[in-house]
Amino acid sequence: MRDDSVRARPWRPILAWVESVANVVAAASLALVALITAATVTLRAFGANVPDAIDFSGFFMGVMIFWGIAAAFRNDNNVRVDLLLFILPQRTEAAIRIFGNFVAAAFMILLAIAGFQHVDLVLRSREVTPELRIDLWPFNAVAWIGLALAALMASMSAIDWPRKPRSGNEPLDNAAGSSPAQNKRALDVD
Amino acid sequence: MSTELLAPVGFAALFALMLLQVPIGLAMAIVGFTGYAIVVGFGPAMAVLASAPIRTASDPALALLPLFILMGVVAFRSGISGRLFDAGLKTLGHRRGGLALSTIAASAGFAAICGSSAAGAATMTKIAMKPMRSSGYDHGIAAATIAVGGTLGILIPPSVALAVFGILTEQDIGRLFMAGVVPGLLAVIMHMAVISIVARLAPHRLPHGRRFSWTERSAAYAKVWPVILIFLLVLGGMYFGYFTPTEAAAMGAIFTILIGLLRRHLPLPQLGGALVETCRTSAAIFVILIGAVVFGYFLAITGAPHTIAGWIGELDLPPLAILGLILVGYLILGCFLDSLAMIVLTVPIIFPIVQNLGFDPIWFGILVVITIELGLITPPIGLNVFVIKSIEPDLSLGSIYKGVLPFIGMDIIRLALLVAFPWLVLALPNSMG
Repeated sequence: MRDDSVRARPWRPILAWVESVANVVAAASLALVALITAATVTLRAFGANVPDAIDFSGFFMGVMIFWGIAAAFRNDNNVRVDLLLFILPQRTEAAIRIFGNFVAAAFMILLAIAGFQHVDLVLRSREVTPELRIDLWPFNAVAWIGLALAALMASMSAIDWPRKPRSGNEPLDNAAGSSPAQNKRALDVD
Repeated sequence: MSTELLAPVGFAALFALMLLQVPIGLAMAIVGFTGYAIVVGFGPAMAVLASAPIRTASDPALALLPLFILMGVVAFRSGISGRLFDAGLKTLGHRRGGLALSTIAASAGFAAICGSSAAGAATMTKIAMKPMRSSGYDHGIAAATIAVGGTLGILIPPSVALAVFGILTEQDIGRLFMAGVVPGLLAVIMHMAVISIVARLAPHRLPHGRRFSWTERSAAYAKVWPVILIFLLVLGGMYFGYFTPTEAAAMGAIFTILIGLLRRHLPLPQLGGALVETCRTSAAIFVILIGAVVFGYFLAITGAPHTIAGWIGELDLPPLAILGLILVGYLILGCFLDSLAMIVLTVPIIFPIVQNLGFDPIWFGILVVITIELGLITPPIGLNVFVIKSIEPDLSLGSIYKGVLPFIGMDIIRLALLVAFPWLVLALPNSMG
């Protein structure tokens, strides 16, 4: 049975799917960063090393962060100043939220365009890793896809408003840590 | 527009965008990009936008942030905090205010593996508030104890705030972490002293519980050894120079996961959830860091830090008075701004001034973090207080703030002590291998 919100906003299931893919890609990249770094330390004790460990850590970090940003935009996890919202009437608050989301979306699109220029530059320069001589551009391209998805998510949250009120007690409830999504916010704000 | 005028206009635009709900990191990037484009041109500004985000996001030296966050999230999901509280209760529960003392001890233990204040406050509210209420504790003081205990997360290493300070100022993060140890322990002792004093003055507000046998205590201690092991691995590894901070973070995260899995405290779905949660938290932090990098280009081109340092230099005030003014400024900002945003926004401007005044950067970092820590419990925003209120809605904010007051007084004394005796902060980092 489809609920009303799905009928009214048919793109929501697609965005939810994109978000779950972004979560998996980001989480796998984080796990790889942890494993590569820990393996480097462990192998060092035996006089060995992981080839291009620092470069690979960096690549997977980039992938994790940009895909993580995409998921963060979908969940509205960005850190904002809520101070003004506490004292404003609801209509004004909604208007300000829409403004903030549109500005964020516009800038994320610009960021994605600029990021594509960077990938193009790396592709043309034929840069490779120092030890294994692996091309750099595919890693940059995967990270950039995350950035492009982040721009998409930011744009959709600007269009698809208001999902939920952000003022009042809501961000504080998030900090309560009663669900995975809420726990995250508790760590965000530090 | 002259570059001198551009900086104040940029700051005004930045605060306007932040108040208008643009995410803090993006607001910084927007102002940084626009300002740079005005001075240097659109092409070079686009070049900054093309390279700065990917360079920041894929900087392996910054991997310590997500890895330390992962360590904290996994520890949280493994239920370590509950076992810490139990160990604290069995050691201190028989004293007046024993549950409150246990809360501070458990918060300190949790802070040793989790660098977040709000997470500590949220966790401890769920664990400690109910027993304190049912034991007849004054609700305001009980909640205040949790709020104050939560602030230890930002100071006791590993601390996300200290790591970000180190990244921004290019200071050794390992030394910064070591510098947080003594002030963190001092905070624990002083918070416990406040509880003991209140319990002595008003015993009915903080009653004592029963004494536990050594068998019961030993059983509780046996459950918290992973915390001690992980803390020693991370801090010891950095102190003796075996690990870089990033490597220490990775080893800490992997060990926390392994211990959780082997002791069956961390089911696989929880591990997956911890990874996702860490990515989102890290992403939110990196948006701010990326914004700070882009904004930094703008600041550099306007020469704002240099100009402000010049103005401060012209003031006929002793260095300690200027330091006092800076810390008061942080206290005021802490009432309104997110702690991480505050560090990212102010440190690039304030830090050159502090260096000009000849203060030790590591010492200054600790003072800033302690001041920011105060902002987490002071009105009107006091994030930790709000976190507790959101979990225990029947508590009044007024009663929690009233309960927090003696702790704030003690924190100010602690800050004064650390200003007067910098060696309290610097002895440990200066002895590092």
